[in-house]
Amino acid sequence: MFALVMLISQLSAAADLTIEINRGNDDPLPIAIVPFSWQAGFTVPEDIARIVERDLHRSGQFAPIPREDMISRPDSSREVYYGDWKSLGVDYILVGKLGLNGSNGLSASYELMDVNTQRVIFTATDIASFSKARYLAHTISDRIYEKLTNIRGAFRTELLYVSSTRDTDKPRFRLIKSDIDGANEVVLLDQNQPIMSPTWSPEGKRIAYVSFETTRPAIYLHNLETGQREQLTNYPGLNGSPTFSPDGRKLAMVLSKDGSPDIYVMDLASRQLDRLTDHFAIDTEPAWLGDGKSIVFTSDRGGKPQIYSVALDGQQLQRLTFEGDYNARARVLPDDLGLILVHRNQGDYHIAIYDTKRRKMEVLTTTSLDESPSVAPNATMLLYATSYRGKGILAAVSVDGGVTYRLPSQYGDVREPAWSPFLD
Amino acid sequence: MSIKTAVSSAALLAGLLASNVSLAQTDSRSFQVSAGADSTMFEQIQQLRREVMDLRGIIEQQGNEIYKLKQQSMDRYIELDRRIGSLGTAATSEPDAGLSGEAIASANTAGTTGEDLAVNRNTANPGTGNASSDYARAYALVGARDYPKAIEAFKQYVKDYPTGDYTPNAWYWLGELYVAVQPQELDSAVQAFQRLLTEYPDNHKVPAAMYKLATVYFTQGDKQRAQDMLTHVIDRYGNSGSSAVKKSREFLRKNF
Repeated sequence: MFALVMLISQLSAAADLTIEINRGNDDPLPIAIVPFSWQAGFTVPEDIARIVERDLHRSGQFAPIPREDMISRPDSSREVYYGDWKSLGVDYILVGKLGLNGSNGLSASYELMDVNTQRVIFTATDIASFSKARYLAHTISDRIYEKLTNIRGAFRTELLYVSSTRDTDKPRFRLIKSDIDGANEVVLLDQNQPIMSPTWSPEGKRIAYVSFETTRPAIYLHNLETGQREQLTNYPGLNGSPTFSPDGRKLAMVLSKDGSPDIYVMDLASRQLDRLTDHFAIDTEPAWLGDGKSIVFTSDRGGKPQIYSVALDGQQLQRLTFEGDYNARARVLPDDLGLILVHRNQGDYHIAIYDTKRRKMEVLTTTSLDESPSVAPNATMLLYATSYRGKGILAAVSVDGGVTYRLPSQYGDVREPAWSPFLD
Repeated sequence: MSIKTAVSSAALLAGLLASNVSLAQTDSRSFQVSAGADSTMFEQIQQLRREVMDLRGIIEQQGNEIYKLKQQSMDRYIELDRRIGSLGTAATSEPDAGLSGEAIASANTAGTTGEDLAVNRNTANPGTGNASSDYARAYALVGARDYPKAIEAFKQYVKDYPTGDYTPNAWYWLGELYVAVQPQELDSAVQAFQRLLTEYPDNHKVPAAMYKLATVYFTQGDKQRAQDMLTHVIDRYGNSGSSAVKKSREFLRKNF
């Protein structure tokens, strides 16, 4: 047994990702997020309404009005004078109050109103401990977002990414986990050898990645709750691109132990390894289809990198992409709505959405050298790595191409974002 | 392609001959020659792999072309079938369709009597003579969810300002309102959207109007037309960031 088990202390990083929005939806909903009131006698650690405002703004589907424009700051629907808000061109208003819940709990009671019908359309009370004030705010964002768009919100999700810096002479790699808005960064791994391909398990409690800490690439399984790490593979050659099956029991990966890189599937309980592809060309970057019965992957068996799919028994091999001479690193959209992939078009690498049913490619990004797309669990946005002013940064784009924003890190180059599944 | 294949089989043959020849040489020489033959063999295998991969790529591409051609000919057949089908009914339904705009107008006046309507208009929607404030007034009725009054106001607007700045928007809103009002007036909605599409093909409301029109076609049971229009929205405005594209895609996914 070559399993290596160790505990990693979670170091807190000083600088969080910051977000700059550069392009929005053509028709966002104007909404007023009024600052929440609170009773005297305690300090609220975060500006809850501000976090909700930024969450909704980042989705691109809402245009929160600036606080300075608010004529009044009501904290309940009884105090709302609809005419004021109508004249500001607002369609919806969110008002709320913060209170104490037990000794260290925070509660938020809030109401959402439709200005045009002058009615309260949603009320709720949510609680969280003081230390989870941001989480409380994201909970409110999720509920408001779902109420107004009928799409489940993904503001309580998290992000994994790899940062690289140079300390004196040695390169330094960090595996970082943060909230999806870039806050609450936690360094999971900090070493001089490269870290690659972080990925989430479907329940969000385990992650897998490739680390070169033994000087050779090896796949590791890392439990986020216990901090326990385990080395899963130690084969000669490539050990790469781990991805969990939708039921979380298997891990697809790329190994070159039998010659050229091929796709393998490991059963995590028994550690039994099945070879899925066997070809002298390069097969890499596996991703599971939603039913867990097939895998899509990149192969250059047809001369150029393209996306193929294959069933778990190795049958039904099928080429999926035909447009362009380079399509790689596919990720499957929830409900098998299509693929998100890296597509080369006139020498530039872009992120594109590929509708497998209609066989249509649609380029989503306007930047170049885009790589490593990762889709939100509600399929509305995706994150990818790109370069901006000579630095590796993360950027986001909505699946309809309408909204984009950048998440530049305060230090180093950042790459390989992985958007978590729903965690609430 | 055939030339390449011929060349590489010739090379392979030459390689085999070379290795045969080497067997007839002295020991020391045969060692050198066979080592040379091994490396040529290796190169040739690499070459053949490359060739097989390229050929595979070409076959896959051609398979895709065939698939697309089949789809296209099926689409053409369906479209032709639809046109032939509509030719049969057009003879009887076309005059009605041509009249329906006026028919609705006259039905409205018949329902209330011409004078009543005129009085109504004068009291409920007295025109200010100012295009933008008339438009704002009509738009406010949409906000207040008073759809029947909003319809009257926009109808008056397009009549009073047939070339106004907001006329395309007014046609768009008329289309929306005819769908929203109870009972729905889908034929009028189709006409309003079509006015916008034909008279203002470059207007920014066009993608949204096409999407809406497609949903109306769908409700009316004309699924092929709805699908064609939605596909057109995605193809034509795919990179514009318009929310109509997203909605069209969702609608196609849900219903087709």
